[in-house]
Parts: sequence; structure tokens; C-alpha cells
Amino acid sequence: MNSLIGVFTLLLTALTLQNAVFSRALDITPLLAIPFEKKSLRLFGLVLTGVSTIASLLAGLLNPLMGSWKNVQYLRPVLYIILLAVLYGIVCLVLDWKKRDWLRDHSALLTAAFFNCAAYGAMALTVYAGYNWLESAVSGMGIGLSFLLAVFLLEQGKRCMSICNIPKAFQGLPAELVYVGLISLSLYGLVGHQLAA
Amino acid sequence: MPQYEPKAPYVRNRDSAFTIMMDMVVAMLPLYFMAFYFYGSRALMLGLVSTAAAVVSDLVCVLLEGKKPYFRDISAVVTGMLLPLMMSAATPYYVAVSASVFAIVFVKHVFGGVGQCAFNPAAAGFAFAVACWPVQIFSYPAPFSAPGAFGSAAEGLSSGPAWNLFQGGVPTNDILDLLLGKFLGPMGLTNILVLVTCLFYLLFRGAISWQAPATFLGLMVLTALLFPRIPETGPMSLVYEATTGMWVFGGIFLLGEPGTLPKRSSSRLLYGALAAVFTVLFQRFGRVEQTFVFALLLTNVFGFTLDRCSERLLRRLRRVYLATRTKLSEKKSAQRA
Amino acid sequence: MRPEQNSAKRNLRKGLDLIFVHNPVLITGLALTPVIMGSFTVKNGMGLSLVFGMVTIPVLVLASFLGMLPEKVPQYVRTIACAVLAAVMLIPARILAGGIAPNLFDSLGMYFSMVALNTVWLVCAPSCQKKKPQWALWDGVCHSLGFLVCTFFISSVRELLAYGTFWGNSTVLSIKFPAAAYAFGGFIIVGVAAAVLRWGADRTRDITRLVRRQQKKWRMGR
Repeated sequence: MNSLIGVFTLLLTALTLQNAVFSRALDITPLLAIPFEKKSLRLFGLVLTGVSTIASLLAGLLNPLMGSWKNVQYLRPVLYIILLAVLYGIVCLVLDWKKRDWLRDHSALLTAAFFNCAAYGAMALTVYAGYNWLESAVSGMGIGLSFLLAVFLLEQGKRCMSICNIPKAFQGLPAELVYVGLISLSLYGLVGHQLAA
Repeated sequence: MPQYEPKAPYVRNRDSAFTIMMDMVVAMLPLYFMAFYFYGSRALMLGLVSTAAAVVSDLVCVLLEGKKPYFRDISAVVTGMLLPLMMSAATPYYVAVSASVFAIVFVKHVFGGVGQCAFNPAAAGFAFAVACWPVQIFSYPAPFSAPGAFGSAAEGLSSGPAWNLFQGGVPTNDILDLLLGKFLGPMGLTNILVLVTCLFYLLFRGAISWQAPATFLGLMVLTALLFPRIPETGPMSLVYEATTGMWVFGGIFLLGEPGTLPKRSSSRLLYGALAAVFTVLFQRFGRVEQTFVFALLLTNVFGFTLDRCSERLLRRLRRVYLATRTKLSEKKSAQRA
Repeated sequence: MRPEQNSAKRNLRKGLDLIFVHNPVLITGLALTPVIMGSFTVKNGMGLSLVFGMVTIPVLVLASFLGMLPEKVPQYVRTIACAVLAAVMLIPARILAGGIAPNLFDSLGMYFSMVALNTVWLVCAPSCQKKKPQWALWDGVCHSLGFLVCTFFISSVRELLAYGTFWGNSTVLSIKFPAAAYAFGGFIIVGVAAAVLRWGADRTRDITRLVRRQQKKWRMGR
């Protein structure tokens, strides 16, 4: 029961205090710049949630094995990215075998979901926070879900901005960045200040 | 059941926007008078400097956008006057100036100017100032200490009862002092009686709609009464929360800002409730002394959504209502036949 | 002019456009995370650009070589090869970046390694497979220069505002805005910088168009 409450708190924290987008700026590029359709942005969020959950679960399982190594913090990023690449390879092999059409249609989405800052960030956070395997999986899921939350909030923002007459230079990416920045400012009331970590 | 309410005329119609803004300015004058009474000329100077900064940056932005300056648009004056009221009377001038410049340039004009702001400019400006200089804003001079109008006034400052509440302790101030506003606090909003008078003035003049402040203030009062965050009885907790918190002022002057408020009355009710929920959550889990402005910024995101949702809901209800009415009339005509 | 020469000229010009007019970060919006979270001092920004160049250029060149493989090799195998190279390039990049800012790796934490997963190579690798290696190299160099220009500008503004210093040296600025170093300050500053650059690019385009029209008129007059 106690651990259940702990897990729930962890998930809530990942969604609000340490929101992957608003306080860590992890998934900004897929959210703002890659021209996904509205539906495929949601699909991207779902795939990303799965990837970050599994990846951080694996990272949480691997961390104790790497602990005693010398200079391990320099090699760890390399290992994590190679692990992501291996996962990507396995998923693509399976899809290539079972659902070739789906893979052909969504290959850009799948690639972006595996090789982005969020999936890597979920793995790296397990080390900084010292999570065990369960906590790692939950925090990874939190990062994916917080991306979905950001997608929802930004959809509202885009709708609101579409009826404002924004100056021409600010239309599109700049106004969206400022919008995300102001949401991030509003979450500052919860977080207090925080530098890169 | 009206399908479409007339669109809020004050959003685009500049003449009525002018009267509303004038009402806001008039409602702020007693607050400035109280600030002058407690803290002397520095309070007025802060207001003047901040307003001047807001007006100048507004003018520069308008000229940069290649529009004609329109002098009956005084929303910049309102923003500039609102900001220092929430700060300590000993705040350095650069804090007030940069808060109003931030509010006008990055919040108002980036999203297209008057009536189209995605966020409340004054709230965002204050939140920015809190993020940058929390110490300068939240350390207050004693009432009647009259900090000098020029130069810095960073001596003899301390934190107020709001800090005690934030730390989970009970303020030691006298109740009468709290009600009259004679305690360490933001320069313009310590006197709750004047604030309530302002609320009635604005409601009477029709400058703000009643829906959002009603649900917001009502829910906040209820939470303070029923779920006090300090070991005190409900009414005492209400007195402490209402006098020291920024939410009474915010609910009157910031929440009802017509540019960010939803356009339908039903969604305005929900908007106020949402703001109350966020404010309470931020109070309980936040790490800043005054959290209302942050909660308001988060609520601003949902204003447009609430409008759409309530419109969709009303449309569906209307469809059901029309369908049943036609069915009933068909039945009646069948009976008659 | 032969068509090959023509395409060479076009490739050169396209690459140069990447530095300002089609800046990968500010105009296209790629690789925003390191810029927003990482570059709040000039030293950090320069270190990150070095890492960016060391990762992106080899990966794009590799992508161009991978384009020569037979069509049978599926696309995802090529992506995996690129990702592995990007990860491996982090090791020499860390050693070199230590020369600019000795504690860059420790102070940036996970944001340092995120440069390896920047979206620039992810987006450009498929198009680089159709290019010759020298043009892929040129592409990578220009992307890196664009990133460098952007990070230099953003990080110097942020360091001046937040700490009142430049490259660690104190300046005359006395009022500090600590929020410029936070995440939300980064978002807003990058957004405003993107708007300024876009405005500037629009003006230059207008001016060049005007000049061309004038030239045409003169020629017609003659």
C-alpha cells in the first residue's frame, strides 16, 4: 500500500513539478517543429510513452550492474543510446515481419519516438534520482504522459492563438515557444527555481 | 435557452473598453490612497514609474508593429498601475519597471495586443518579477515607516504574516490590525474593506462580470473555512487567508480581465471554479509565498477550452430540448386528430 | 553552365542559407532542448556547439555513405548505424569540450549527452543518403555553424541578463535577471530570438528583391 502511494506520488510529480516539456524542455522539437498531423502527434505521444517506460525500466534494471565500474558516468550515455538503438531495431524487425505497411507509413514517427531527448532523459533520470526498477518504469511513464498533457495544453493554445492577430514575425514557432514559456512560468509557482540537472 | 449570447462588446469595441478601463483606474485610486497613507510618497512614485514604463513600452510596441497609436486605449495604464500594488512598498524601481515591460512586451503584444492576450499581462509580469527577485518583493517595510521616495529603501524590511501562513504557522497579528490592513504586506492590498468596496463599485458599474469572481471568491472562502491549512478554527483561518492572501485582490482585478475571460456566462462560472482549484492546490503544494498569479496563468490556458466545451454542451442540450418539444407537439396534434 | 556546376552552386547556397536565413534552431525549430536548457552561459553554449559539430558532421557523412548500400538494406538498419555512431562520437567530444569548459559534462548532466540525439541528424539523414559525401559534409558543417551562431547569440544574451557576465568576466551590467537562466526564460528568449531572426530574414529578402528589380529595370533601360 505504501509503495502504491509512493508510485502514485511519483507519477503526479512527473506530470506537474517535473513536467518533461515545461520544466525540462525535453520533447520540444517534436511538439513544435516536426510537422506531425494532430492525430499523429497523439499517436507519437502514445508510442513515446511506451518507449520511455520500457527504456527506463531497462535502465533501472541495468544500473545496479554498472555501479562499480570506473569512469562509468562517461560511458553510460553511450550505452543508453546503444540500448535505445537495439530496442528500435527489435521493434522494427517485428513490425517488418508482421505489419510492413504500418512501418512504411509511420517510419518517421517511430524513429522520432525512439531517438529523442525524452526517451534518453527518462533513462538518465533513473541514475540521477537513484530509482529502483519499479520507480524507473513509473517515472518513464510519467515523462511520456506529461508529453501527452503538453500536447493537450498546446492544442488549446494553438486554437486560442489562431483567433489572435499575432504580429507576423511571431506567428508559428516563436509565439508557441513564448506560450510554452508562460505555462512553464506558471508551473514555477509549484517548483521554485531549478537549473539544469 | 439562448444559443448564442451576444459577444462581449467590450473586447473589440474601443469606446466601451475605455470606460471599463477608466472604471478600473478609478477603483484602484482608493488602493493607492491607502498605500500613500501607510507608506508615504514612495508608493505613489512606484505607481507612477511602473505606469510610465508600461505606457512607453506599449507605445514602442505599437509603433514597431506599424500601427497608429490610439490614445483612448489605456489598458497599459491599468497593467502598469496593477503591478506595484501587489509588491512591497520598498521594492526597487527597476523591479517594477521590468515587471511592467515584461507584461506589455512579452505577454500583451506577442499575442496581438488589447483584448487578445492569451495570458493576463499583469499576472504574468508579477510572476516574472517573483521568479527574478522574490526577496525584494516579499520583504515589507513596517506601516507608517515611510521609506524614502528616492534611492533604495532596503533597510528594516521583514517578511509578513503571509510568510507565516506559508510556513504553516499562525500569524501573531492583532485581528483588528489585519482587518484594517495595518500589517506587513503588499503596499496596496492589505486593507480588505477597501477591496470589497472596490468589488462592489466595479460590479455596480458593470466593469467586471459577476460570474467568475463569484465562484472564485466563494470557493476560496469555503476552503478557508472548511479546510484551514493552519491549526486554527475556520473563521479565524478565513480572516488570516483573506487579509494576507493576494487572491481577494486577484479575484477582483485580475480574474475578470475581459481579454482572457471566457465569453459565455456558464463557462465563466467554471472558469472561476477552476481558478479556485488551482489556487488552493498551488497554496498547499507550491513553494512561493503568494501563488495566486501562477494559478491564474495556468487557468488562462483553459479559458478558450471552457468556452468551446460549454458551447458544445449547450448545443447538445438544445438539440435534446427541441427534439422533445417537437415530439410532444406531434403527440398533441395526433391526440387532437 | 553545365548542370553539375549548377547543382554545386545551389548546394553551396543552400548550405550557406542554413547559417542565418534557414537557421536549424531558430527558424526550423530543431535541437531546441540543448539550446533552452544547456546554453545559459557562453562557455556552455560554445562547448555544446563543439559537441554538436562533432556528432552531426560524421553522422551526416556516414548517412551519405550508407546511401550507397544496395536498396535491400532496410531504412531502419541505416538509422541504427547513425545512432550508434552518434553515441560513440560523444566520447571524443567530451574530451575536446573539456578544453573549453572543464566541468561542462558535470554541470550539464544529461543535457550534454542529449546533443547526440539531436533532431538535426534525424531529420537530415534521409536526405543526406541521396547526396554525395562532400555535400553531406558541407551540409553538416553548415548546420553546425547555424547551431553555433544561434547558441552564441542566445547564450550571450542569457549570461548577460542572468549573471551580468560574459565568458565568466564581469561587465558593467548591475541589474540581474536570474530568470533568464531558468527554463521559462530560455523558452521566451529563444522565441523572441526566432521572431527577430525571422523579421530580419524577411527584410533581407525584401531588399534583395528590390535590388534585383532595379537591376532588371536598368538593363531594360539600356
